[in-house]
Amino acid sequence: MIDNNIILRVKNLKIQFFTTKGVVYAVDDISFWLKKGETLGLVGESGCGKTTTVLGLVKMVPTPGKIISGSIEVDGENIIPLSENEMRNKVRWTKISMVFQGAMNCLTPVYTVGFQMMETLQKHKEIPYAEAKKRIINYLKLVGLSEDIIRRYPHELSGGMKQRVVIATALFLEPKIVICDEPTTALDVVVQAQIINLLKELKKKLGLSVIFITHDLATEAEVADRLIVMYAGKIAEIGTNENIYGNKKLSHPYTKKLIQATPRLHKKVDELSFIPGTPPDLVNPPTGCRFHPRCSEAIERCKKEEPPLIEVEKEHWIACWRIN
Amino acid sequence: MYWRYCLKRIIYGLITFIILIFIFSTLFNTTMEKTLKSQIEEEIRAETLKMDTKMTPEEMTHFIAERRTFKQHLYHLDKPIWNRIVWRAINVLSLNFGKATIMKSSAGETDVWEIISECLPRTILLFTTAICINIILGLLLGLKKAQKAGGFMDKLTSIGTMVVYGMPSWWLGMLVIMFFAYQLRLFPSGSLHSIPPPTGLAYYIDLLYHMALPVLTLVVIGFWGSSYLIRNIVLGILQEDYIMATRTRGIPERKVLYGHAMRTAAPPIVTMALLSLLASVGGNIIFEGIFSWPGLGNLYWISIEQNDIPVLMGNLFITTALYMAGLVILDLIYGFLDPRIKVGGRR
Amino acid sequence: MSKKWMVLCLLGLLIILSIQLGASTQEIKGPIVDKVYFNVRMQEEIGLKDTAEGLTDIFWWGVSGPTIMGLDQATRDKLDIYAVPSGSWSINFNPIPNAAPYLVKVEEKEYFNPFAIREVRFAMNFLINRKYIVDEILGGAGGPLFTIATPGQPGTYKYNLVANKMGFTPEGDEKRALEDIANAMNEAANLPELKGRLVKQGEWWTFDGEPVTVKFLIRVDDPQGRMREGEYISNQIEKAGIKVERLLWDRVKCIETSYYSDPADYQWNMYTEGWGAGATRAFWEHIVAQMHAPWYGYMAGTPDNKWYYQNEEIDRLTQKAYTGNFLTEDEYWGTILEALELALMDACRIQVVYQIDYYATHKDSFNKRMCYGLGDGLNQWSLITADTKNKEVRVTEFSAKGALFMSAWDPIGTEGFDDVYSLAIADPLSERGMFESPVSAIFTSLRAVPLEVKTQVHQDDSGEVVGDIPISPEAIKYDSAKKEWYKVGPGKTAMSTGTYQYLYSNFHNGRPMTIANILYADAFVTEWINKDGEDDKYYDASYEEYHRPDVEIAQGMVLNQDGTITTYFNYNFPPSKERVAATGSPAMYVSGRYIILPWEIFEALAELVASGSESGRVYSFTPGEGVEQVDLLRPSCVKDIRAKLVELNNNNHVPVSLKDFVSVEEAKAGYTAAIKWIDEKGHAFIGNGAFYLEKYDPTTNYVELTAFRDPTYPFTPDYWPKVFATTTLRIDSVDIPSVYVRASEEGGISIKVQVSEVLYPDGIAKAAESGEVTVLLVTDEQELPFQANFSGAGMFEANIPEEAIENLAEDSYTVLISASKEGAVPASVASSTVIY
Repeated sequence: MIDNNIILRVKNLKIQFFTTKGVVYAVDDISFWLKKGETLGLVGESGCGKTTTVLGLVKMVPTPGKIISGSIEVDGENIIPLSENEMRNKVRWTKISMVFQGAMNCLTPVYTVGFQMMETLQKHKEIPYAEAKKRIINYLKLVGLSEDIIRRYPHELSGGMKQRVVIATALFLEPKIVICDEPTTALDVVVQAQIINLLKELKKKLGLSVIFITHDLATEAEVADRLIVMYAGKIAEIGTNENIYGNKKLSHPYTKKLIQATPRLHKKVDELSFIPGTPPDLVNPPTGCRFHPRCSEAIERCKKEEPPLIEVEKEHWIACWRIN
Repeated sequence: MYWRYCLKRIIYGLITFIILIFIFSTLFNTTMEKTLKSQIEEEIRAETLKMDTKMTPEEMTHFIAERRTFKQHLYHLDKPIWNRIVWRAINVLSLNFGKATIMKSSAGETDVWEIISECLPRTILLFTTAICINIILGLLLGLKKAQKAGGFMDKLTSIGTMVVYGMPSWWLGMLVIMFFAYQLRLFPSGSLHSIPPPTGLAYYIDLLYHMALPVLTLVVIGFWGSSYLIRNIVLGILQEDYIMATRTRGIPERKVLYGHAMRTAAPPIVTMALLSLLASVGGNIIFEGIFSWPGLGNLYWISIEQNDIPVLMGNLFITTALYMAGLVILDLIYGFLDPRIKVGGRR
Repeated sequence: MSKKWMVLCLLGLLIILSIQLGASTQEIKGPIVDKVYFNVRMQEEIGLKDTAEGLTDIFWWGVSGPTIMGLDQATRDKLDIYAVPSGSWSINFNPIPNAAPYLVKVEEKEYFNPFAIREVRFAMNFLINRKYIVDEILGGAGGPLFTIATPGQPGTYKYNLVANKMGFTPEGDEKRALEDIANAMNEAANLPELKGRLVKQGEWWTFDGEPVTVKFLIRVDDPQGRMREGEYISNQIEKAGIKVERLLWDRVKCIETSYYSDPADYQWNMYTEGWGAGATRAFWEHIVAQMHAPWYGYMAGTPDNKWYYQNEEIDRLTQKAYTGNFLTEDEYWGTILEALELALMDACRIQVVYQIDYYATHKDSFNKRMCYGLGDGLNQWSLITADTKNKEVRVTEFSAKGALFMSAWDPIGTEGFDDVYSLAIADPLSERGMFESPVSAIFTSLRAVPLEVKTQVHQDDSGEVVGDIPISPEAIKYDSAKKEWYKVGPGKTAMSTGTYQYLYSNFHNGRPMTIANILYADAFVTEWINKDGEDDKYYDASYEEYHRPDVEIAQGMVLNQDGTITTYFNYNFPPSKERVAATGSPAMYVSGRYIILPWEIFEALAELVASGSESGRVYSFTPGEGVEQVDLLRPSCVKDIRAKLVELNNNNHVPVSLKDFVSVEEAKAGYTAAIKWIDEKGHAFIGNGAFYLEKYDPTTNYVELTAFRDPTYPFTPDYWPKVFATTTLRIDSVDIPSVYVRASEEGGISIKVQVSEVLYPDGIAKAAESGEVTVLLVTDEQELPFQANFSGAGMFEANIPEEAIENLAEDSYTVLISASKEGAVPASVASSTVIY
C-alpha cells in the first residue's frame, strides 16, 4: 500500500549471523510498516530478533551479522544500498535515532555529557556553538533535567537521569523515526513510570513516530498504538492493542500464552503460568511453524508448513494454521 | 580536598621511599661485609705476588698487615654495622652521595654523583629513546590491529609477537651485530663513538650512527609487546555498548577510535607508558655489555661486583626515586585520566 | 792541474760523505708506529670478533682457552695469537696436627686427619694426573705445574729440576700413590693410640666406627674450572678409601674458612686455590717464601690461632734468601732450592696446573709479531716493537665497566696506576734506569748504563752479611729535617757500588732530563718517608711503609766530573750482577710504578698536598676520607696543578733540594714549559718514553698516543726488536724404554731426545742445529749424568751403559733430560724407566 502516511516500510528483511557454529537465521523474512505519528510496539522473548531488526534499520548489525535481502524504505527511500558514509551523514540520527536499552553503558565514561551531546549535534548540523548549546539546554529541559548536567560525567548520573539524557540526545536533531529499545528495562518501577510518562508527553508534543521495543506487555500496552509480536526471527502477529488484547479468539497461540503469563495485580495467583519449553535454536530452526514444538494447539500441518501472515480482521494479521 | 589527597599521597610515597633506602642500606652493608673481606684478602695476595721490593721478612709481614688495615678502613669495615647502615642511608637520602670507595668516573672523579651522571645520559639516550619509539609504534600498530581484529595483519603480527617476545634482547643484539657490523660492515660493533671521534655536527651524527643498532634491536623486540597490549585494551573497549551507541549516533569512525576509544584506553596505556619510560632508566646489564654502552644497568652490576656501596646506593636512589615518583604521579593524575575514579580528579 | 782535481774530488767526496753522515744522524727515533689508539669493549666475544674482522688491531686482554677454542675456525684464522701463562691452581692443606697420632679434637669429638701424614700429602702429587686436568678441564690451554715457578718462564729451570728429580711427572703415578697412601695409613693404624680405632672396612677407612672424611673446599663460582678440578681430585682421593665431603662454596665462604678460620676448628682439609699471574721474573725466592714459608702468613693458621703450621727450617732458609744473606751464587741457589725441596717434601701446598691466556691480534695488520712478556703477556714493549702496515695501532681493551681506567693517575702514591688498564697506557710513556727484559727477565739497561758494578761482603760473627766497600766521603745524601744535602763523611762501608752513565734525553715537552731530576727524586723520597716533627706536612704514612726499605738500602751517591754517577748501596745478590746493578741505578721516579716526570710536576704535586690548592680541594697521595688523590688526568686536578705551577713560577720558586743545582731561570723555564704542555694537551703527564699522551677524552672513552720522535730520544725503531730476539729450547719428545732388563744384550738404555729451537717473539720453531743434551739418572745415592750426541735434525741420542746400572736395585728410576745452548733458554723434562 503506497501511503503517504507511512514513514517506514520494511519488506522481506532477512538478517543472518555467520558464526563458527553455523548460520543463525536471526531475522527471517519479516515485513511491516510504521505510520507517521504512531507508536509501534515490538514485543517478543529474548533472542527473538527484535533488537537485531531495529539495528538493521540503522544498518548497525554487528559482525558477524549481515543484512541478506529485503528492503527498508525510510520516507520512500530504500536505505539498504546506501554506503556507510551516507548512512552516517544522512540517515543515522538525522532520520532515525535510537534510545538504547541499558543506558548504563551508553555514554562514553571519559567525556562529559555535554561534550558528547555537543559532539553529536555538531556532527550533523552546522550550527554555531552558542546556538547548539541553547538547543541542548532546551532539550534537557524537555526531558526534565537541569542545565548543569552538561558538566557531569555519565557515572555521576543515576540510571533515570542517564536515560533522559539519551532520550534528549535522540531527539534534538528532530529525526523522523525514534527507536526505543527497551528503554525502561533496567530501571526501577518509579523511574520507569517517569520515563514512560515522559515518552508519552514527548510523543504528544513533538508528534514522533516511534518504534518501541519491550518484552513487558504492560508497558507496551501503555505506550504503543499498534503492536508486532515476534517469535524466533519471524512475525507471529501484528495488530492494534484492541485487536490483540481484546479479542481472545483471534490470537496467535504464542500471544495468548504471553498475555496469560503476565501477572495481574488484582488477581490471586497461586502459580505463574509460563510457556513450556525454550526458545528455538536459530541455527536449525524447527520446520514449519517455529512455535509448533511449544504450541499446545499445534496440528500436523504446523509441523510441515510455515504459516503466512494473513489478515484475519482489519489491521490484524496472524501467522497460524489454526486461525486460518 | 584534592590538595589534601595530593599531599597525603606524596607523603606516603616519601615514607615508602625512605624505608626502601634503609632496607637497601641494611641489605648491602650486611651481605657485603663478608664479600668485602674475601675480596680484600684476594687483592692483597695478588699484590704481593707481583711485588718486587727489597723488604725484609718483618717488613713484608708488617706491610701485609698494614695493607689489610688500610683497605678495611677504605671500605669503612672498621666501623660498627649499625653506624654504617644508618649513616649510609641518611647520606643518600640527603642527596649527599659522597665519594665512591674505589670506582671512578671516566674523567677520574670519585664523586658518586659524577659517576652516575656520566652513565645516566647514555642510558636515557638508548633505552628511553627505544621505549618512546616502542610506545609510538605500539600505539599505531595496536590501534590498527584492534580496528581490524582477527584480520590478516592482526594474525600475522600476533605470530610475530609470539616469536619475538620471548627472545632475549642480548641474543638478538649479538645476531644483529654479527650481521650488520661484521657481515655487512654497515654499522659499528658497539660503543658510543668512533675512534677518534669527529667534531662539530659530525659528532652528533656519529652518535646517532652508533645508536642505530642497539635501538633497532630494542625496538624490534619491544614494540610487539606494547602493540599487543594496546590492541587488547582497545579491543576490549571497542566491544563496549557506548562505542556502538556512539557509532549509531553517526560519529565518524576516526573520532570513535581516536577520540572515544583511545581516550577511554588512556588510563591503562598511560600507566604502562609512564612506568616503562621510568623503568628504562635502569638500563639492562647484559644488553649494555654487548653493545659496549656503559649505562646505569652496567654501573649497577659493577658496583655490586666491586662492593662499592656508595655508588650502588646512589644508583638505586635514582632509579627507585624515579619509579616511585612515577607511581605517585600516576596516582595523582589518574583521576584526571579516568573520571570514574573517585580519588583525585575534578569535582 | 791533476793535483787540484784530486783535491777537488776529495773535497767532493768528503762533502758527499758528510751529507750521508748528516743524513744518518737525522735517522728516525722512537717506536715503529706513529700512533696508538685505545678504546674499550665490554664484551669479550665482541672484542675478539672486532679483532678478527680488522676493526681493531689488538685485543688487549688475555682470554681463556675455552673462549678461543669456542671461536669458529674462520675467525681464528684471521687472528695471530700470543699464548702467555696467566694464573695457576694449587691445593692448600690443613695439616693439623702434622704429627702422630694425627688426631684433632673438636669440642668433645676426635677426628683423624689423613692429611696430617706427610706421606699422604706428598702422595697427592702422584695421585693427581695433572696432564688429565690440563687436557680435559683446561682444554689444553695450560700445563702441569710442580713448583710455583711456571715452566717456560725465565729462571724457572733450576726450580723445576728439583721437582723433576723427585719424580714428578705430568701424568703422575696413580698406582704408586695409592700404594704410598695405603702404606702410610696402615702404619698409622698400627700406632698404639690408633690401634683398633683406625680400621679399613671394605673399601673405606673408618675411625671410631665412622668413615674417615676430609672436607674439600671447592670453588663453585668457577664451574668450568676449579669445580671440575675439585670433583676430579675428590674422586681420586676416594680411590684411596678416604671419603671426601665436597663443600661447593663460593669465594666468600671458601676464603673465610681457609684463610680466616682456626685450623684447630678443623673446618676444612683442602682448598682449591687460584692465583693470578705474576710478572716476568728471573728469580723466584720470594715467591717460594709466599707459597711455603709460615712466616709469610699464607699457610694454614697464624700465630694467634690455637694451632698453626710451623716449619722452622723452611722459614730460616727462605728468610736467608730473602734478605740477601749469602755470599755466593751457589749459596743462593743452595739455600733456596733446599727450601723448595723441603717444601715440596712437606707438601702442605701443592701446585697443580697453570693456565694459559691468549692475546689476539689481527694477523693482517702486522708485518711481524710484537715482543711481549713471557710472564705477563702484552706490555709496553709490544707497543714499542709493534710493526703495522699502516703505522698505526688500534688497541681494544676489555672492561666490564666500559671505562679505560680504574684508578687515579697518581705518580707518587701506592694506590696510583693501580690497575692493568692504566699501566697498559702509562708504561710506554716512561723510561727508567733499568728494567726486567720481557723475555729473559734479566735486568737490562734502559736509560742507566752500568759502567762498573762491584759487590764486596763478608759474613760477620752473627752470620749477617756486612759490606766491605768503603764509601767515598764525598758521597751525598739528603737530610729531610735540615732540608739539605750532606756529605756522608769517611769511615762508612756499603755492600755494593756502581758507576752509571745516564742516557738523558728531552722530556716530551722538550725540556732536557738532567742530573737535577735524579737528585730531586732522591730527595723527594727521603723527604716524604721521614716524619720530621709532629706537623711535617711533607710526610705520608703509606708512602713510608712502601719506600723505607729502598731508602735504607741507598747509602749515598757521587756526581762525578765526567757526568757519570756513582752510587753506594747495601744490596747483595751474587746470582745476578744485573739485579745488583739495577738496584743501585740512579732513578728519576718516586713511586713503585716507575712513572717519570719533570721535577716541576712532582714539585707541584708535592706542594698541592703540603700547602693546599687553588680550588680548596685537599689532596693526598693516598686515598682517604675527605681527601682526593692527585691525578695527572682528572681535569679538576690538572687545573689545580696548573695553578700551582703558575704560583711557583711567579714566586721564582726553586725546590729546596735543588737550590745548588738549578738556577731560577732554569726553574722558570721548566714551569713555563709544563704550563704550556697542560694548556695544549689538557693533562699533566709529561714523560720521557717512546710515546707521549696526545689525548684522553673521558666522554668518548678513548686515548691517543703519539710517537716521540725527538732526536734526543736514544733508541731507533729497530733497536729493541734486535735486543729481545731470543731462542728458547723445547724438548719435543723423549724416547726411552719403559722397562729395561739388564744383561739382555741391548747394550744399555738407549734414549732419543727431539729438541726444537723456538724463536721469540716470532714463535717459529725449527729443529735444533746444535746444543747440549744431558741425561741424568737419579738414584737414591747419586745423580749420574750422561751426555747425548747430536745426530742431526734436532735429534740427540744418549746411552746409559750397562756398567753404570749393574749394581742398582730393581726399581723405577727417574731420568731427567735437560737441553741447553749458549744464549738460549734451556729446557728440562722428567721421565722414568724401570730397571730389572
